[in-house]
Amino acid sequence: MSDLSNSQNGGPGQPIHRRTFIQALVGFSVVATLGGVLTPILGYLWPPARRSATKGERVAVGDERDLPVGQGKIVSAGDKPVIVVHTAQGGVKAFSAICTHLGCIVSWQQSRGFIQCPCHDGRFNPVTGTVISGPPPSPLSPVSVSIEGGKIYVQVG
Amino acid sequence: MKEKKPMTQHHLWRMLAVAAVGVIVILLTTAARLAQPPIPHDLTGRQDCLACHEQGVNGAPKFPANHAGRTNDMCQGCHHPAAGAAPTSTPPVVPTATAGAAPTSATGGPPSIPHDVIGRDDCLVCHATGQAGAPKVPDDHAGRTKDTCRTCHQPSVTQPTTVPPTPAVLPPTPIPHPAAGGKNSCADCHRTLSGKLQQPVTDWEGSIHAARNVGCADCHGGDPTSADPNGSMASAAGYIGAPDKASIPALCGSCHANVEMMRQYDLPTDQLSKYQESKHGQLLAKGDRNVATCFDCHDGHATRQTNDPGTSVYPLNVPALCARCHADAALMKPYGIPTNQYDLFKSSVHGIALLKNQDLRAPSCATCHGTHGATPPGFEEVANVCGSCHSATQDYFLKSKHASVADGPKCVTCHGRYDVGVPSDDMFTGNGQRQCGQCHPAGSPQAETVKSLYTAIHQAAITYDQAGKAIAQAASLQMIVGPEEEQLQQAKTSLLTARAAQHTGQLADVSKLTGQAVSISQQTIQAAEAKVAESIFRRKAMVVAVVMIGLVIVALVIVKRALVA
Amino acid sequence: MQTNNWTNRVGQWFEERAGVSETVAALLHVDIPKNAQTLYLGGLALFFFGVQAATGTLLSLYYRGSPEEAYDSILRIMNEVRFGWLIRSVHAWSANLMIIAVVLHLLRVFVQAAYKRPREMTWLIGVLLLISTLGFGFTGYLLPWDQRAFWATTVGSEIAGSIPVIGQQLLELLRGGTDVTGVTLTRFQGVHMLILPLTLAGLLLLHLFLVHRQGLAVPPQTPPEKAKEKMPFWPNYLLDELIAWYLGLALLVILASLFPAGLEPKASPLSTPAHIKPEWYFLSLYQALKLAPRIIVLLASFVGLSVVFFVPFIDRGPSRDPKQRLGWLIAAVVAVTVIAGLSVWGAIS
Repeated sequence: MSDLSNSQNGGPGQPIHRRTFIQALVGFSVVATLGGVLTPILGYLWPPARRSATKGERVAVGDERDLPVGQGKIVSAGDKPVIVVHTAQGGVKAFSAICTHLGCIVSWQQSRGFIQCPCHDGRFNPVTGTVISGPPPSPLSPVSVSIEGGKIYVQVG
Repeated sequence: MKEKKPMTQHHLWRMLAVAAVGVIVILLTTAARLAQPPIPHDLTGRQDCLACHEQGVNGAPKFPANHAGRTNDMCQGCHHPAAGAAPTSTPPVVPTATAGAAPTSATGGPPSIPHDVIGRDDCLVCHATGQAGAPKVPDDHAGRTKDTCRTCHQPSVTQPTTVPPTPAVLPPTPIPHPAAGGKNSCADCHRTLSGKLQQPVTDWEGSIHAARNVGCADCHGGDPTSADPNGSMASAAGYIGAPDKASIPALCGSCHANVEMMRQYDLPTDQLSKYQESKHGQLLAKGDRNVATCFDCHDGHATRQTNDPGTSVYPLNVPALCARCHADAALMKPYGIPTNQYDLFKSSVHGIALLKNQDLRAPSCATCHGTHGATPPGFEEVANVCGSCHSATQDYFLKSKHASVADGPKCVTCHGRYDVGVPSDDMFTGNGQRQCGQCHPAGSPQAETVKSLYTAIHQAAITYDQAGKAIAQAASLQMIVGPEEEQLQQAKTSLLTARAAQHTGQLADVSKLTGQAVSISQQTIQAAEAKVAESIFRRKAMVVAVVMIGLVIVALVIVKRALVA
Repeated sequence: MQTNNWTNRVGQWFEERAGVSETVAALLHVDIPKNAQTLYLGGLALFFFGVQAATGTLLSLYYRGSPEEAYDSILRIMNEVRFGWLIRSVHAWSANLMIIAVVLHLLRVFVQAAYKRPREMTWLIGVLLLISTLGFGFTGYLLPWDQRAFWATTVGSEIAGSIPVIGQQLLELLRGGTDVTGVTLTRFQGVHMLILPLTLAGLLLLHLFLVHRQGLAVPPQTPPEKAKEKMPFWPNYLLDELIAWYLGLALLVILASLFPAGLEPKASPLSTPAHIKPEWYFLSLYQALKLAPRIIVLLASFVGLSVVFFVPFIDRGPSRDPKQRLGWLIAAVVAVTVIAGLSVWGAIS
């Protein structure tokens, strides 16, 4: 430090160079650090573009009036395929659409009133998700479904 | 007015001649009748004339030498029952008679059998020595064997049947259920014995019959309230000993074919009728004693409910049960049936699923061959048998040319019968057994389709595997690949459905699905590769960041040196 | 010497209003022994804590603490939020590095007997800081609510429950009930984000205040003349410290980029995975419990921890010379070896 204070008064060139050099180095360090730290932080804080998660991580999958009794469809909820069926006995029901046999995606058989897997004819009850016949060893896992304001919401996760 | 002609001598001789001829004819026929004696006895059950009249047995006249070579159906052409004899035609149901009496037939023929004949095939056991109150065989029956008794002696006791009998159908045999009053002297005594005499009691005690109060006397007859062997095993009490093998199905059927009885247990009652149509039943009816009956499969005295894992007929135990006989080369030799089915089955996918993985959904022998009605299904029936589980595949198969061709390939042609294995894409290629090339070699009209099917499926499978590997690589770099894995599920669905759909043999069906599988797999590959690229980018950014930090450190070192110096 | 550039003018504006320059100068312009060998471990621990505070705050802006949402919020941070993977991975690695730094710092202080008079209180607070740090690790581990988090917490709280007499109550206090549920998650979140940060910050202030007041201890075996040599805290020592911090930052960046934080399948209370282990810093205790009767392990741990806590009052000898504290040093080596060995054993078995 003493050097610095001395060099400020006299001596052309070199002492000033040295001081500004050090200032430059310190400045560089500060800027690099700030930049390297603030960039991720600010990027992180900015809301991400994808899939807006509404309250409770639900996903709207359609309008209630588009799914009358007896109809069903496959929807994508958080990258998971989900089958939504409007049953007469139990209202709107939703299950994971992944067949518990070998993982194929099931489909709704409207004329016959059950959920069917196209790969090996596994059949599931649309009200409970249990296996009616075929090779699947266990029922389809249920997914929470709710209807609000005329829209059908499926719980993700 | 015409003049009446006077009778001439010529006319008179003519009349006399005619009369004489007439008298001679009448005399001759009468003589003839007198020469062919009428049948003096009731013909009930006596259609086999030669049985007595050939040798002159039982006081029956021996037929004359000039009758040699004549058969039974010719006798009644000349001989007729005497007037007053009972009518020749008899209904199967014999009119009731007082039990215990020994009524003779209306015309004094051999006495009828006053008792139930079930389980009493060996007449001589009692009648040879005249024990247990049975009349001793008269001396003029000497030399006759038990097979000939029933030729002349017919049961006159009502043989009640609960099912109206139809020809060629063995009706269930009634079992007298004596009022046991909770006693079972048979078991009490036999329990104290040893070896073969004790084993049935031990077996029976663990059985469902014991649990439902079906005791020894309910099948074997006898008196379970009597502790005295003479009383308990008296034929008067209905004791039949060990039933003859051929009569076992009907014996079991007396309860198990009775709807009224079985309704409370919700048990089916068709086993007896099915059994009679099975190969086992048919052979048993022809006298084959080596076939399986109820007793052999249902563990004999130790019969248990079919859902009891300890019983031989529990699905997991069925293959070993059938193999007991059907894997025995010596036993199967007379029938010319192969004996390697069990070995083949054990290493098949069905066998492994059932026997190793204990999966009750897998088929046992009975699933395809039937249980009581066991018969191998015909070749044309195979698709329906396999299709009872593999319904989706059957639907596809029925759309194919193979299904409509008369002796075209069915499931077993390509997949095997007992040795069903995991199918592979190799079944498209090659010219060996169980491959398309067996019937459609290279150069045949269908070879092109075979090749196209193989290519479509194989390509889709390869692309799918590539997608799986791409995901694995991204995951190994610690990238989270949930969305990609979900996408791949869809590709998997299409690929598996394509594999099932190839049973239609239609390229259009299959290539639609494989196309889907390929396109989704390719999208997944792209997404996974993007994740890998992102990971590489992050590593590069890391290098840049670390370099920057290094520079800052260098700067600080310089600053420090400058300040400290 | 003042020059009239803009930084000085801003400084003067603040000084006129807040007037803290004297206090700051008093804090900075101190001297420390020239040959002090801190290995900068304490400072690194502080640095890593600072990183944790910053990244933890950022994570709390996206994290949702309920069993239904926690897992998916973490997935979102990793997959959708810009640099989310970086913030979370840095947070996970900095936790490990902080624990390592704290432990090494403790060992350094122990070896140098820098806990002796007048620094007993500093040591006591330091041990409390260690316990708080481990508490941070334990509570934070549950928050992603994946299988590893759920079951490691179950096993860890079982160990707490095995303490005689108070075990069951302690277990229920930890879990907020008899089992690990959403109640546990909320409780752990509150502890991790509010209680422990405030506690640790308070302890840290006391600790740093005492260190400032008493200055750094001279390493033992320093000849008396050398012991008197000083160097300025600012800028010399602080620059060294800063360099150490940047090295720590570089290490964090490398680890976070090459080994980003993972996520196992979502927690399923009904399916226990084949191998559950607590996080590495609890592995020695876990492995010991598998080998020796519970009561012995707990007793040994309790006694060991008490000795560590009270060592300034047990080791009352005036000398800090290692030769005269051989027993303690050997004990330390043995303890470290045993704990390290058990940890490795627990990791590979």
